[in-house]
Amino acid sequence: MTSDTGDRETNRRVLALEAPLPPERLAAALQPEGEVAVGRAVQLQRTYLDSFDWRVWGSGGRLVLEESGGRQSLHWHPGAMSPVTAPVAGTVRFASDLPAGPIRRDLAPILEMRALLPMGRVALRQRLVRVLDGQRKTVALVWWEERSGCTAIRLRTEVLTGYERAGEAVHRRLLALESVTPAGESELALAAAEHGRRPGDYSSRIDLELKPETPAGEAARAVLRRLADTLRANVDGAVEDLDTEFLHDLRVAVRRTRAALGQLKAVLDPEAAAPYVEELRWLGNATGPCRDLDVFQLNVEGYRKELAPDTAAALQPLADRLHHMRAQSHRELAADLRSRRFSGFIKRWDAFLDSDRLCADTATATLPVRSVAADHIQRAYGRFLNRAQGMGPQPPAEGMHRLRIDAKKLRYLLEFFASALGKSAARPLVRELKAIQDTLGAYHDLHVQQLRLQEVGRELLTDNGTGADTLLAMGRLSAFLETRQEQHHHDFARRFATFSDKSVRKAVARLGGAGERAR
Amino acid sequence: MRVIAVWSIKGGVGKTTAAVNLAALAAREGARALLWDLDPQGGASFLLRVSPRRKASPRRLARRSVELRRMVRATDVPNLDLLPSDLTYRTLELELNARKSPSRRLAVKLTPLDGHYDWVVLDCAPSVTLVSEAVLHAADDLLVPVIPSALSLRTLEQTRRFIAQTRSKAVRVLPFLSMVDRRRRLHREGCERFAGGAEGFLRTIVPMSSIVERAAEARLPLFAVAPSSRATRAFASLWQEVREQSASPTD
Ligand SMILES: Nc1ncnc2c1ncn2[C@@H]1O[C@H](COP(=O)(O)OP(=O)(O)OP(=O)(O)O)[C@@H](O)[C@H]1O
Ligand SMILES: [Mg+2]
Repeated sequence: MTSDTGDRETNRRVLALEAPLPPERLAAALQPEGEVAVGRAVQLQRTYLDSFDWRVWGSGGRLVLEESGGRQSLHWHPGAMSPVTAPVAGTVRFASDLPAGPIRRDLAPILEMRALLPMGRVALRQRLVRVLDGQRKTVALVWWEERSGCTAIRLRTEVLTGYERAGEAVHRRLLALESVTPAGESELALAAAEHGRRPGDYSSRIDLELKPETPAGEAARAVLRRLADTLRANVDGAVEDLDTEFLHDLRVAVRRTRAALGQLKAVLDPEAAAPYVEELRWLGNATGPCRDLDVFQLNVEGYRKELAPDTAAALQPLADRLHHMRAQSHRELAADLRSRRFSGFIKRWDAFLDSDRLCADTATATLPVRSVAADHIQRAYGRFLNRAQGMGPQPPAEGMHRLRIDAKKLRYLLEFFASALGKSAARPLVRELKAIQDTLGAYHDLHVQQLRLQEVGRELLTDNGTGADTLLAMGRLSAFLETRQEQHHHDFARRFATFSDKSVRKAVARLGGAGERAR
Repeated sequence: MRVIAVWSIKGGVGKTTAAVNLAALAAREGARALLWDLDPQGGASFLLRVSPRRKASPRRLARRSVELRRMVRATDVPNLDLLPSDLTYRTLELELNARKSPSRRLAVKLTPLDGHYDWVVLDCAPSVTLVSEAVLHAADDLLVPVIPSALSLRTLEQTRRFIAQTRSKAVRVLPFLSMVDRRRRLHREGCERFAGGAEGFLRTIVPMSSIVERAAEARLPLFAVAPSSRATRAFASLWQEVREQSASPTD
C-alpha cells in the first residue's frame, strides 16, 4: 500500500506507527538528508471543525483548530492549495467568526449559514522535526505526534513548495523505517468515530440506492425510514439552536414524510397511517413560525443592504423585534421538540415503519418501484400543468400558493425515487422544476414576510418608543418586498413556459423506461 | 491580490528590511503572502535563507510561458512564499529588454497568481532601470522609505517625477520615515515636518534600531527576534497603515 487513502490533505502525508519511535531515532534516520533539528515537546489540543453536514470535508478540505499554551490557531487545508494558518481569539462558530483573509474567503461560501462544530478532538504531544539545508533553512518537516494515552506514533510530513525533492526523500526514508506504514484511517475519521460520527455520515439529501425492480412498498418504506433518520438527526441541533439549518432540515424531513404519505396512497395504507398524518401536521405547524422568522432574519440583512442607508438604519428596531420574536418562537419550538408528545410520536413512528401495517395490501405495493414512481410522477406533473394552465400566465396569490405545494410534492417524488428511475432520466425535469420552484418559493416567502411586517408594524405602533422614521422605513421595506414579489409573479409565466415545454413533457413521459409504458 | 512594491531610487534606506517584515506580518495574520526579490543582491532571499531553485533563471523568469508559481519557494514563516534572487538575476534587465512590452512583463507574470496570494510584496533594487519601470506597472502601492535628510527628500521628489513620467495609471505613493535617529537634529525636524501624515507620508516612523541588525544577523523577521521591541511595533503599525490604505483584498 503506497497511497495514503485515509488522508486527503494534498501536500501532507500521514504515516502511522504501531510501535513507539523516539524522536532521536527519527532524527538519526533523517540525518543523511541534512542537518536535523528536533523541537521541544508541545502539548497540543487539536479539534477538527466542520458543519453538521460535513461541508468542509465535502469540499475536499480540512479545518483544524489547534490550542497550545493558551494560544489558538486555525489551520485550513484546502483540497487543492497549500495550507494556510492564522491565529484566532475566542470561539469560531460561524464563517463570520473566521479570521479575515483566505480562510474566511474560502470557507464562507462553503459553510453559508452553517455553524462549525467540533467533529473530533485529539490531545497530543507534538515535536517538530525539521531537515535543514546549508543555510539552516527548513527543507522538510515532520511532525512527530503521540496521542495521549497511546503509544502509537503518527508522523505527518509536509512537502514544502519549492522543496518537493527534499520532501519526497524524507517521506521515503520514513517509509523505509521498520513498522512504519501509511496511515490507513485519517485522524479526523478516528477522532470523529469517538463521537459516533463518520465523515460524510449526514446529508439532508435522500441518497438512497433503490433498484428499479424493488417492490414499490419496500421502496416507500426505505424512503420513510431514511426521512425518519434525518428528522431524528436534527432534533438536538434544532433544540440547542446550533444553527438555522437543523430546523430547516427537520422541517423538510417532516414535509417530505407528509408528502410521501399523501402521494403514495396506493402503496402505503392510508388508514393505518392516519394517526401519524395528524402528528406530522402538528409537527409541521409547531416548527413553522420559528423557520419563517429564521428566513426573514436571514433575508432582512440582505434587504437592508439594498435599501437607502438611512432607511436601512431606521430598520434596526425591526431587526431587534424580529430577533426577540425569533427567540420567543424558538423557546416554544424547543419545548415542543422536548415534549412527551414528540418523543412518543417518534417512538411509535419508528415502530410503525418496521411493521407490516405500513404497506397497503394492494397489487401496486408489489409492483416494481420504477413503474409505480414514474406513474405517480407523471400524474403529479400533469396535475401541476392542468392547474397552472387553468389559471393563466399570472395566477392569483392563492393559485401561486397551491402551485408551490404541487411543485413541492412533485419534487419530493422525484427525490425519493431518483435512483430507481435513473438520475439522468429525471434530470431535465429536476432542473426545470428547481427553476420554477425558486420563483414560487421566493414569491411565497415575500408574502409571509409582508404579513409579518404588518404584524410587527402594528406592535411597534402601540410601543410608544417607536420612531416615525422606523415605521416609514418599514413602509418602504414593505413596498420593496411587494416589488420583488411582483417580479417573481412576472417571472412565473416565463418559467412555466420552459417547465411545460415539449422536451420536459417527453422526458416525463419516458420516465418509466423507454417503450415500456406509453402514456 | 494586492501588489505592494517597496521602492526607492536611493540605496540603503531600509527597503529590504521593510519588504521582508511587512510580508512576514501579512503572513502571520493569516494571509497568503508572496515576497518577490527583484534585487540581484538577493538581500530578501538572504534574510529568509532561500536561494533560487536550480531550474529557475532570469531567462525563464522573463518568459511568458513559464509560470512564476514554479519558481516560488516556501519560507520558514508560515503562509509566506518567496521568489528568490541571486547575482545571476542581474541579467533580468537584458532578458526583459529582449521581449515585447518589457515594462508590462512583471505585471503580466503576476496575473496568474491572483486568487492564490492576498499580498505580493516586491523588493526592488535601488536604481532606475527597466525592471524598476516594470515594477511601477505591476504595483498597486509604492512604499517609499525615506531617511529624513535633504538628499533623501530630493530622491523622493525624483521618484514622484519618474512615476509621473512612466506610469499610465495612478499608483499610490506611500512614503514613510525610515531609520530615524532622534538624536539627530535633521531627523527630529523631519519627524516634525511629516508628523501626522503630512505631504502624503504614512504616520508610522521606523526608528533606527539595533534590533534590525540583530534580526538580519539571525536571518529572521523582527517579530521572531524581539516581539515587543520598538522597531517591531513600528513595523506592525506600518503594516496596519499599509493594509488600511489598500482596499482590503479580503472582502
Ligand atoms: N530601522 C533600522 N535600524 C537599523 N538598521 C537598519 C534599519 N533599517 C535597515 N537597517 C540596516 O541598514 C542596512 C540597509 O537596509 P536595507 O537592506 O533594508 O536597505 P535597502 O534599501 O534594501 O538597501 P539596498 O538599496 O541596498 O537594497 C541593512 O544593514 C539593515 O540591516
Ligand atoms: Mg535591498
